[in-house]
Amino acid sequence: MKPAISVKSLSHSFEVNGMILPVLSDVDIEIEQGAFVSVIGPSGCGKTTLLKLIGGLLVPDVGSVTIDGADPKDAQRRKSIGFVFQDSSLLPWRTVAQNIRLPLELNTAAGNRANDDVDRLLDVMDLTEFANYHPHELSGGMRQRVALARALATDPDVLLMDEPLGALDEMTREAMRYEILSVWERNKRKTVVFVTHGIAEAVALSERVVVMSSRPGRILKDIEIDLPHPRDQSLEKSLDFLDYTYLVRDTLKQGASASPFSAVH
Amino acid sequence: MSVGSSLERRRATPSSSIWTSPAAYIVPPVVALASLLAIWEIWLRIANVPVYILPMPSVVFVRLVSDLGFFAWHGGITLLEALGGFALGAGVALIGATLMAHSRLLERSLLPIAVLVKVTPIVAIAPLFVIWFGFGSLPKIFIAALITFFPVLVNAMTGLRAVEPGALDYFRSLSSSRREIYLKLRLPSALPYLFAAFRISIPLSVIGAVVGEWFSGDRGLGSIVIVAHSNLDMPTLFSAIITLAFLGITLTLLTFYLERKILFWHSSAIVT
Repeated sequence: MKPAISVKSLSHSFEVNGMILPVLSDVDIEIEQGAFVSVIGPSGCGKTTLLKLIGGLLVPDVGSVTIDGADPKDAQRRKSIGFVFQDSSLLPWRTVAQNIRLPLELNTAAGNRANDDVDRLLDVMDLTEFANYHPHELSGGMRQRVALARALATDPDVLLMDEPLGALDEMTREAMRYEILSVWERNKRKTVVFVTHGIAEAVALSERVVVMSSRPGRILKDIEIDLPHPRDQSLEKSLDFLDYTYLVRDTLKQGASASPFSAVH
Repeated sequence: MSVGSSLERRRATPSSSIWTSPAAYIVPPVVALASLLAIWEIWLRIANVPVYILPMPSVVFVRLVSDLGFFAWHGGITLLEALGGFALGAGVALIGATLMAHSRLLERSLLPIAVLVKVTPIVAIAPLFVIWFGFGSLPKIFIAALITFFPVLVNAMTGLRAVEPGALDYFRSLSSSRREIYLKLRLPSALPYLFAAFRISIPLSVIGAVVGEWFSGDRGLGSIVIVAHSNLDMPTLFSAIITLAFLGITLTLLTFYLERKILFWHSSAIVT
């Protein structure tokens, strides 16, 4: 089956203060359609850069990225990519409903779905009563819900999430973890790349965990998570779950440099 | 399990302390002002200072109130010139900022010229405008526009560029056109910066209109000031000044009110 996302020999650097800073080193990943893949690694290992390269927000220095065999910019033009960022990036002057409707108003040449889909999305994400609120009136967890609803508005094939739960407190994080999973399970056609800092989160949510080394990031291990679906919180008590988290943790430790600043948690 | 709907939205309850009631803001300054006026009046009566040096508040009050229509009419002229100039200057500045924000070449070529204009004192340019544009309202409008132009230009340029990078990435991920990004992201993001410039520019444009009237005018509060000054007619002079102050206060309050309404979403307006 043709992979939905294909990353080949990807290397990328940034220019910072006149110096070249390599962030990704020879990354190869193939993600099939409908897969939920987590990418985990220490701070600065290039996970966000990798996500942006996959989503067409950056152009790779070396190597290639394709979505459905084509340039990610094609997927952008079809509005087939849904991004969720760590800080939700909602427009503060728009209400919740207007924020969710935003992607439908942009790039209308790509064709659109009817407006009542916003209502359905509000309902799915449990936001109907907050439709006319503004982002500054919502908690962090609710804002991320809006961000997820917004990402789903164009019914994208690919969902790219960059530590979407990173700014939330632990309890909200745990609750929303399984919400995201249930949204994905209801929309099995969507391919998800989920960047995270959290080991338990990566193992709980995904079918595959890609572990990256510290900068310049390269793939240390690509771990298949063979745990049953559908999943919920009780999964985290099982021994298999624990084993997987230890495997991920050990892999991360191997790849961490001696520097005290590459903390992994 | 739904976390969001269990998070309540609490209505802010007003504090019942006497210090936060509306009266607490109005009464103290009014009392202070009244006391100052009383002292001024009493001292002048005792010291018998001639009216052409410093008039008594009661005399000024009589002059102003007995001829309210006169001062209101001239005040209206000055106001229209100031606001007309403000609108013109702000409009041109916004267009200029839009062009410069999208083209580094334009920015590098035109911004230094704008700075040159800015550092030239307006009182030096005003007589020049009178020569060019005559004795009517036009030179005053242009002077007000010139004063408004630079603060709005600089703030608009900063504001149009100060978009949240995550939001910009989001727009790009949907292949948005530059026009869509400008209208739906840059322009709203620039509003707080624009209002900051307006807060400066609106009082300045009143000054600009008045200065213009000094150099050419038979209408407007600036010309009243000049005529009263040459006649040593202090009650009229003070009345004109009071009218100008009233104009300034009203415009400032109006701007403040509009800003709160339009920028309800901005961190400056949100009290936590």
